[in-house]
Amino acid sequence: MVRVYLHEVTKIFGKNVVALDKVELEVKSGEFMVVMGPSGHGKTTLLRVVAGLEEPTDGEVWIGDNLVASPKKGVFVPPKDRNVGMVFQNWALYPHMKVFDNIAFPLRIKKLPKDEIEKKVKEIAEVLGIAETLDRYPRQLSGGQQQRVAIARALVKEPQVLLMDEPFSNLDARIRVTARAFVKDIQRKLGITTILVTHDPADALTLADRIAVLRRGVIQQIGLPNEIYDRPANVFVANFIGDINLFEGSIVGKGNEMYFDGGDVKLQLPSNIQGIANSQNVILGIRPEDIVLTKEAQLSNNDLAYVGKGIVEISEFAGGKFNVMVKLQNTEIKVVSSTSFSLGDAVNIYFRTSKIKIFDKQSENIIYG
Amino acid sequence: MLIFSSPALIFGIFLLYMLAWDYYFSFTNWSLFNPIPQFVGLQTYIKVLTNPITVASLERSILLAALLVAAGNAMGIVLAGLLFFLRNNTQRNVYLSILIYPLAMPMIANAFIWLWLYNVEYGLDYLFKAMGLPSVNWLGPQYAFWSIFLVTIWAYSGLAVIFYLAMLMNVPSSVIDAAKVDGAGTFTIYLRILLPNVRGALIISSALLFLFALRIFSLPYGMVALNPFVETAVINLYWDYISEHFAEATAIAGIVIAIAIAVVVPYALYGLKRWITQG
Repeated sequence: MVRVYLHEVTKIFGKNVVALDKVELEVKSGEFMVVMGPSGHGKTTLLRVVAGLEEPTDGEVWIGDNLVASPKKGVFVPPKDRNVGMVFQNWALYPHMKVFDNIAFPLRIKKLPKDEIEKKVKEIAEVLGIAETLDRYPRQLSGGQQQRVAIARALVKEPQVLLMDEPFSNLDARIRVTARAFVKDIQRKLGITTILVTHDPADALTLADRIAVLRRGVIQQIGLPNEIYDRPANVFVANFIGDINLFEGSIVGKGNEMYFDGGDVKLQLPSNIQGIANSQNVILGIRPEDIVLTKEAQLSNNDLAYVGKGIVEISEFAGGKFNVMVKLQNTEIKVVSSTSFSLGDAVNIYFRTSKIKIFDKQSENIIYG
Repeated sequence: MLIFSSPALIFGIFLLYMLAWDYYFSFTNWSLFNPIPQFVGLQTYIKVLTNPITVASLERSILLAALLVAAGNAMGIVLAGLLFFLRNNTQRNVYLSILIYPLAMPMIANAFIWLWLYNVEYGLDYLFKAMGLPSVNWLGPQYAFWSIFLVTIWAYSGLAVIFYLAMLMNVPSSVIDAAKVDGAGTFTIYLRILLPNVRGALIISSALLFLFALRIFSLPYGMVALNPFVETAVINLYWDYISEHFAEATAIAGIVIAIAIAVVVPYALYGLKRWITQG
């Protein structure tokens, strides 16, 4: 297994469409890296640069010890010599070939002997559970089966790196969960260095060893899934990786007595807080599941900060939990609660202070969290 | 419904009326000598099909059609492939325009251009002489058919190129990318991934090239006029018509139409089947 290293990779399309802007990314050997970002923010371009389908405008791409692309040094290794496997968003199966021939194609290009090709194709088809579809055409398969064929085709040549471009976006929500588990399982078994790009946080959080978040071609943060979720580098990442309540306001007080004043939302900040100063303008973020609502008398718990009394506006069942919308004067707050509430209930709102994130208002970068 | 289908209905009825008219008179003996047509059964057909000049012209037309289908498709596959892999869109458009230019001109104009090019004094022979090659009597009885065939390739290959190129452009680019990642080079991608997916272009170019060659008139007429040694079926038909052998003319037309239908109907059915089964 090999590592993949992108060093200050820039890709500019046409005159001034910057798809990637000095991307610095190291995927360790055997690691499952998920690159996240909204559509059109350079994720697919990043994959294509690694695959060799695009030539970077600047920077270096390394696969293992081989420099595969560097415009400055005049190096560009075409895709056929990079030994990478790629699963495309629409799977890109060869429509005129049966499943067997689709999977065998990379081996036939390598001119492997016939019996060896047959053995390898059958092996991988067995592993992926598509052995019975080998003599069918792609159009006769279900979405999930087509995806497995695409994965089989990518893996059969035993590539050094596996690249996957939004592999779950064309699947039904129900199959998606099993497909994810399946991909994770295969990746772990083979221990292959993998880069997957997606816009779906659920993909990233469940699959990734590490996540890289891209925004307008710039890497915002690289980290473990829980790091990205609990300590996002900025407001964009916080918002993108999951639901979050954001309140603009300013800091009041100093020392051990600091408060956040956001108009409707006011609370005392933990005493150990650092890096903020009196009257600083900030954005306070808290995820819906880090808010506690009670109808009873006030709770006293070191970790809970009382925010105020709100009115329940919406309470909907979402399978084992409730999505609640509480109105605190003129501010709406999203809460995920384990208990249900009735519309119009007056509730006490508490934020878990250990989970509060504070961002600078100007730069939107995290200060505390 | 009736309003929307009325153009098709009107043209269809008109076309069928003309066909019926043609086949009706092909079973008569209508000519300058028999101004009042009489029903003679298959006699006119027998007469036509035992006339060596007519039979030769029919054979020549079918040969020309078969050759044009083969050569046109070959040119289409090669040139469309070259155009497809051009990176530059402007270049592609310029080359494509040049290739389809002869199609946009009246065939009679093409005929005269090549009449000059085949001229022994100042056409291709001028170049041949300059290079020390022997001069060729391009439009003499020996070579006229092949010279005309060459011009039909020049005139009609652009059609095949358009269809092939359009179908190539329809192949999803991700499929080509997948083949690149799978290790295939450009030539392999074209041969094993792209060409199998452009069978539709083969069907439509073959059908159209066959029809164009079968009914070709202005091109050979403009170049060799009425020459019984090199004329094609429709020119032979025309000769029967202007010499007022009306029944014979309609019979030849009937035969040409029958050949066209026999060739085109299976193609149409095959295309329809593919269209239905593959959506």
